[in-house]
Amino acid sequence: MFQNPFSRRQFLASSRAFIALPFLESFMSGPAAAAAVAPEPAKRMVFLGMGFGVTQSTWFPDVKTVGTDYTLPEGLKPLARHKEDFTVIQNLYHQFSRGGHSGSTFWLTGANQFAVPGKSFHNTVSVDQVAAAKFGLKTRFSSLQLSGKKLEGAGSGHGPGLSLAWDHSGKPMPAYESPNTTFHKLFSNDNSPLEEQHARMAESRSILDTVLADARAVRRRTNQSDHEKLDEYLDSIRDIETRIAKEASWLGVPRVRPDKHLKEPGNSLNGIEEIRVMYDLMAAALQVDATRVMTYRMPADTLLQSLGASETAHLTSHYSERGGDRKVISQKRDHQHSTMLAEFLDKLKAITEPDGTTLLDNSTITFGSNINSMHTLTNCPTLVAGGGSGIRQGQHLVMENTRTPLCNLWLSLLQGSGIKADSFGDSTGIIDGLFA
Amino acid sequence: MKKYIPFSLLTLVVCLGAAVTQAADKPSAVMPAHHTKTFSKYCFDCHDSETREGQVDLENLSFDLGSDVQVAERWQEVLGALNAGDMPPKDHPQLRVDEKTEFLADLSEKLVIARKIHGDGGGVIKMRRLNQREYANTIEALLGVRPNVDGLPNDRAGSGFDTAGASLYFSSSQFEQYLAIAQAALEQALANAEASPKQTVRLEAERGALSKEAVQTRLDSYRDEAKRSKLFKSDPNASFKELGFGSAAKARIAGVMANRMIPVLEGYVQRPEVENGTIMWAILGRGAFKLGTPRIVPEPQEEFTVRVRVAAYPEAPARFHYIEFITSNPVEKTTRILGWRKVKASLEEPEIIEFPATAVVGEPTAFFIRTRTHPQGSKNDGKIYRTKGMLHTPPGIWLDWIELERSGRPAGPTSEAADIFFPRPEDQDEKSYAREVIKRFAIRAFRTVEPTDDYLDKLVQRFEANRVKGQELHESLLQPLSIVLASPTFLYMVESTGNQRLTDPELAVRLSYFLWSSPPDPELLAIAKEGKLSDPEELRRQTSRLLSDQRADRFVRDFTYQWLGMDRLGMFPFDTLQYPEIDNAVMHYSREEIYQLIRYVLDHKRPLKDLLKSDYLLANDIMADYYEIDHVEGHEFRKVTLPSGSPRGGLLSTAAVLAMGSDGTRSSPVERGAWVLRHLLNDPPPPAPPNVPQLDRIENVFQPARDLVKAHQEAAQCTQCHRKIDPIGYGMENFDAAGNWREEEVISVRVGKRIKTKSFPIDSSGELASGAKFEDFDGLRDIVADHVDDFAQSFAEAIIAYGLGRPYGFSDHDLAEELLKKTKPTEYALDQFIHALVQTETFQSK
Repeated sequence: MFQNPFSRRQFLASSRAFIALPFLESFMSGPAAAAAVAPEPAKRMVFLGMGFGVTQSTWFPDVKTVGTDYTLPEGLKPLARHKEDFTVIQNLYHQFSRGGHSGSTFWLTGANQFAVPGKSFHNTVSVDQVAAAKFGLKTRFSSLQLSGKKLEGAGSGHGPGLSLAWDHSGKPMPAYESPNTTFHKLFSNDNSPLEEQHARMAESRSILDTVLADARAVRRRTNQSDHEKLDEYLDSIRDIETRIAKEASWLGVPRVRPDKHLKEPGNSLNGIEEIRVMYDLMAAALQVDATRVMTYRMPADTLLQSLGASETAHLTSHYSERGGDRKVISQKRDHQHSTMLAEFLDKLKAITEPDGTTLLDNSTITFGSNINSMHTLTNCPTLVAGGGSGIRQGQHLVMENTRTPLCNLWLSLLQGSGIKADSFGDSTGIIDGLFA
Repeated sequence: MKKYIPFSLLTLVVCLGAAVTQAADKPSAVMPAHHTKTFSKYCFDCHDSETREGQVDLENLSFDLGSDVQVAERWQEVLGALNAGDMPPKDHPQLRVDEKTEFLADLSEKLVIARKIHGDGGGVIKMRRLNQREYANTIEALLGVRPNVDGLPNDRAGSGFDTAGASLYFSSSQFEQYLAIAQAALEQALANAEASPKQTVRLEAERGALSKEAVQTRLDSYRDEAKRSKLFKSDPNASFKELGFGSAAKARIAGVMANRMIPVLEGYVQRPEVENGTIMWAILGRGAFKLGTPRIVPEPQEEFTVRVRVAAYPEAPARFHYIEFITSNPVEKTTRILGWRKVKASLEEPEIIEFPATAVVGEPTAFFIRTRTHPQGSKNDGKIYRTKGMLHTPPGIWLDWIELERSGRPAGPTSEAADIFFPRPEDQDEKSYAREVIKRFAIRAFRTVEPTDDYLDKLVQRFEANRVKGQELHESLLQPLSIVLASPTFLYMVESTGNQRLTDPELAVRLSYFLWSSPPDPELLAIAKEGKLSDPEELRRQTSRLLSDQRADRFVRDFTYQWLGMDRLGMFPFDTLQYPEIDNAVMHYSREEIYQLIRYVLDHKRPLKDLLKSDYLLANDIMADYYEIDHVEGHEFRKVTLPSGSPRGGLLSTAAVLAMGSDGTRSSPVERGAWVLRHLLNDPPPPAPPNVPQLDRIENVFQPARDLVKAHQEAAQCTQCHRKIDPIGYGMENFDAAGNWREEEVISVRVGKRIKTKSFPIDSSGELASGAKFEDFDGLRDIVADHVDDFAQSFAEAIIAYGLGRPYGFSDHDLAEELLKKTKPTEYALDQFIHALVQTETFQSK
């Protein structure tokens, strides 16, 4: 029954193993299916941000051991069975990042918060959205943003933003904040007659058309500097129009669940449970090709609570390398993250593509944060798994320049996944070692 | 290595010297010229114009950090490299500590100034969106219904004030949320429902799980357990299984526990008062006390009263004499604390306490009472007493019954929404009526701006489409009205640009959002429409009227919260084993104390200096208990005159400020010092730099906080700021993490499995960077109070930023000067700042 290389015990150890693993192909439907089936499986990208960083001494591999022959440190041990399928990269950072409490705000953008005079906050497009502009054309959701509940702010270690994703004008993109919502968006069908659905879309368009009439009046009444603000409003209206157009092309195409065992998640999941179910839903979303680009801003405080910690994520980030309760909890958290990530990779390996490769073979899964640990913003913890970007996996890379732009990695992933991009953020080139 | 200072740099220095003298009144972002020596000595080996290693050319780097954003960025890199110890490289000569300290001190100071220069929008006030709270207030003012805005962006999460237009973004999910919120609010406000009757439900406390019988049952089972355990211990052949225990160990321990619980419960059932009531306490096996009213779904405009008949046990500690009122949503499993009331009556003559409760319309709701609790994630009283070896908390309150009274809803729409569907004149057709309804509503919602015909036409089309779908006349209008509340003229403060001066109605809008965070009321609007508001006298009168209104509390709270950085309060849950007194009630009211203090100083036109030092504080019963002040009864805050010699009085020694300067376990001289510099002395330290190797929080070491902080003097990159910050914190060391006065610092350290404690006497003397010396907290507070001019400057900058909706910039320098000049004769009375700002041309111009 199980043809995949990992053991049955490992498989069952993951919390909600898929019972049946049908071919991804069977879920292909809608506009994507209508098009000629591509000979090569599609590329996918997933970014997992955990906020405050890791335990420095036990998460990063020894810098003296590079290449494929390195020992997994304690914090990464649960990933041992996937060691050939991921790479840890050290010495990447964002030169403009200054916020010791913002692990997510600029993680995928590399922007300079103060780049625009008169504004206390500025951001630019995130790497997932650059990928989504291409990968998202053929799926129901151009991209999917997931997040823990109410994570905005310093306390969680994520910093300002609604998710890890920032749109093409640098505005925060909203996320689904609970497994239940995510489940319904992905798998609940609108069973009303098609005509009715068409009529609702027409109505939505007419509402947008109406507010645009008022927007025109505002434009006439205001000056150039105000138009900039009005443009933000207009951009959001345009986004909705685009989304409606996309929904229209998917009308009548049912949302399919990968298997009947995927049930509606409860409303009050927290911490470990919540993250596990989100991982399940992400795997399921990729399996049915609902989207090819996802970001997940993971809960921090509730994860610690479910590990039995009494202190917040922030206090835990102020652990001491000399020891103490905080360090113990910090290490437990690292271990738990690695355990859950390993389970996620198990699932992606267990899903087969039409050409016989696995979903993981065609995906790029990045786990990390803009924060190293405590308030350090250099050597951002970075782990990239999967074969989607053509990376030579199984390596431990330590960049010689300790100030290598993290954007070089983002550019490498984009180019490696077949997206034409000459640069991203403050990138100075790609990371050759990834492809060597 | 070059041994000379290059010509280009020399000329630069000379030119800059001239520039500095010219702009003497504004802070300069020019690095002192003598640092060129440091550059040439340590950096030019690699980073001169010829070598340019890593494309870094420091030789041609301008010393004026304010000249250009790129220049400032390059200097920021220099700061980063020095802070992190990256440069100079390890195998090169290193800066001497004094050189490095001085260089970094200048550089970080100049960078702060440069950031301000580059952040200066040149005084432009951008059109701004209503922020989250303004939006909620505005909907409430229009419709009489408080919407749930939790899903909208929390605009206070960024830096700066949430009124700064340029930083208030609009994301694509917002539009749909605005539509949905408006639709729900309109439905509630306009519902043409019948009146519902008043209802009262009473629960007798001696019934059910809290009854004497329930305790008796528990007592019986403990007695049985004790008996079985005794049997087990006395008979070596006894089987723990047959005696009903899971293991031999359990069989033995059960008896110990039972024998301790039996007298407690025996004592309970023998009390006469439990015949017709119950005791509100946490007791082992029954958990913490909590009693709720039946679940209801609140209707629009309904009011709620929770009533209890209670008495107090005088011997219990004061904290146990309070009832905590909470509301919970049993479906979402969320709770919200509504408030606290002290019980004073004796068991002989119990009292009835009434509590006005609030609830969210349409949400499943149950009201609960309980004893005071600690924040989630920290230990509560039951557990705190368990660690003391006690099986219950002290009995504090006896409860006879709890009652919920629902006022019932009045018939018809809210008074705010009553005019929306005005009666249709007989000669008016439906379509014209709909258009008129929409138009009148839009003018109100748009704060007097007239909607265009084109826009109205489209809204009427929506109405017609709904009518065709079979909706009723009024029902068909709900959607067009919701669209109005998601349109830009409603969501943004649109100020016309025809002339630079605001029109009177525009001024009215700016004024009311400044002081009320909501739209103008009819009086203000009427005056504005008559064109009288721009008259300075009338403007002054209206400003005073708005300030004395209850709604100005919004300004006091929201401005103060952001001005004083109060988001930090509550960020660190307290270790409740160490600080059992600082619970949810104290956290809530310590915040409230700050707001009440500001409101008092504002209302009574007190000198600004009162906030730095005074002989009074604002307190209610809970805070008076906390500060150990007698004779303050009741939950309302009032001015309390302090005995002479009290360390309280002024922001510095409030529980809130002191708690913010701690991590929940220990006081943090650094956080306290930085807070004082930032918020009181207008000398903000540069933000804590990232990438500085952390001085390991020396856990598990017997060292007073003052000594721990001294570690900052080890490295140049720390000393340069901390020599200014830390001494202020030393002066506040007589207050523990929770703000209680102490003469010595008690430190607990874990040694193996045991906790050992040691005490150190507090040394609260210090010397500020300015050279001013102090012996103790009093001395520090006097020095801070002498800096009232700096404090006034800080307040002026904050009020300008908040009131104008843009960050304070150097171009506002003259404006701040004007405010200070006008308010100084009144000893910087807060209301005078507001009047002064409102009267300026800047406030009245686009």
